[in-house]
Amino acid sequence: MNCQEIRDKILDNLTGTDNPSDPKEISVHIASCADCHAEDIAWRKFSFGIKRVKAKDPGEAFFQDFSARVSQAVKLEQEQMDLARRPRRAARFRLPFFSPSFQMGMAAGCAVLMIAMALFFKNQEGFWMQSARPGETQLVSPIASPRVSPLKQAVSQANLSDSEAIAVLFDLMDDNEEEEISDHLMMAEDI
Amino acid sequence: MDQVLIERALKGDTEAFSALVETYQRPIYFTVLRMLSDHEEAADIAQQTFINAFRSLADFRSDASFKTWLYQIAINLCRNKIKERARQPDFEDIEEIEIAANQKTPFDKIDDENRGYRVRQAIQKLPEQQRMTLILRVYEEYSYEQIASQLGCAQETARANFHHGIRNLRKALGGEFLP
Repeated sequence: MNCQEIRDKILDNLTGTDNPSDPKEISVHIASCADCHAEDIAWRKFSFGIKRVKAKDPGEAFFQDFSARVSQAVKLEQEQMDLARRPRRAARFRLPFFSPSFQMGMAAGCAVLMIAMALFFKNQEGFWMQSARPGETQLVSPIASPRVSPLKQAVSQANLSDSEAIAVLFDLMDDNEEEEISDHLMMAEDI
Repeated sequence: MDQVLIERALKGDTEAFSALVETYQRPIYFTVLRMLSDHEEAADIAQQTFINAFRSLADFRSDASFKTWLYQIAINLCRNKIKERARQPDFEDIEEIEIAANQKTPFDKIDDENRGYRVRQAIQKLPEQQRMTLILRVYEEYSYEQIASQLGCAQETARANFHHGIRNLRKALGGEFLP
């Protein structure tokens, strides 16, 4: 080790906290090198001098007061921690369904949903008003109705099925009536 | 002994924690005072150290030393305070006035020809890392490993900070304490 390395080691060993890795080499060097020896003494005196400087003692009364203040603060902390740990039944019932704010929110949400549904279905055909396209029965009934009552009567008396009854109806119709019904059906297709 | 008190404190026994405060209040206060050089601030920071320690007592690992853990909290609070000071541009002037006023107290007149005052002032003028490292090494007799752990740096950095710090201090104090 050279002198600079030895002087660094002197600083490292100044407080006696860390054990020097190579104490023999350092002591041999210091014993043989006058400059390093002087530096070692100077640093030891300096270290002793600054270490002797004590911080100002505020006195026993300060520490008694300090201890009391900290104890009081710690008790308050403990109380808060205990409160935080304790289960709060009242609070549990209040949340979330019974809180006024939650109820208000739900009411507002329902209102918005209803308005949205109303607006949506308003434009849906056949929901708010009758469909613009009439059904086949509606188209046929004005022409067929004069013959439906006697037909119903005939069907009930003859015990006919629906298809047989319809066939009878068409047999009873004249050509004009059949043509009129076909036109109505075609108009319905176009719509 | 500490561990027993800690376990009792964790169960809600505040008296047990008060016993820990009694044991460590002096070393914590004096270390903080050396770092901040202001009695009021040191008292506040020391108090906050114990309150913070109580709050996070459950996080304390029993394999570590309680004293070291307390120092860790105190040092972090001191660093925050130093940063806070740096944000206040007029603080240096205020500190100088306070120190000048303190210099005239009877305590200082008997303070070994005012050497203590000069040393404290010179230590305060060191950069933060050098100052903290020097205080922990000289006054608390910490190893480089412990300082590195406390300040969150490498051991070599702690060593370099100590070397720079003590050399700067010696330069600042001139021939003081030298043969």
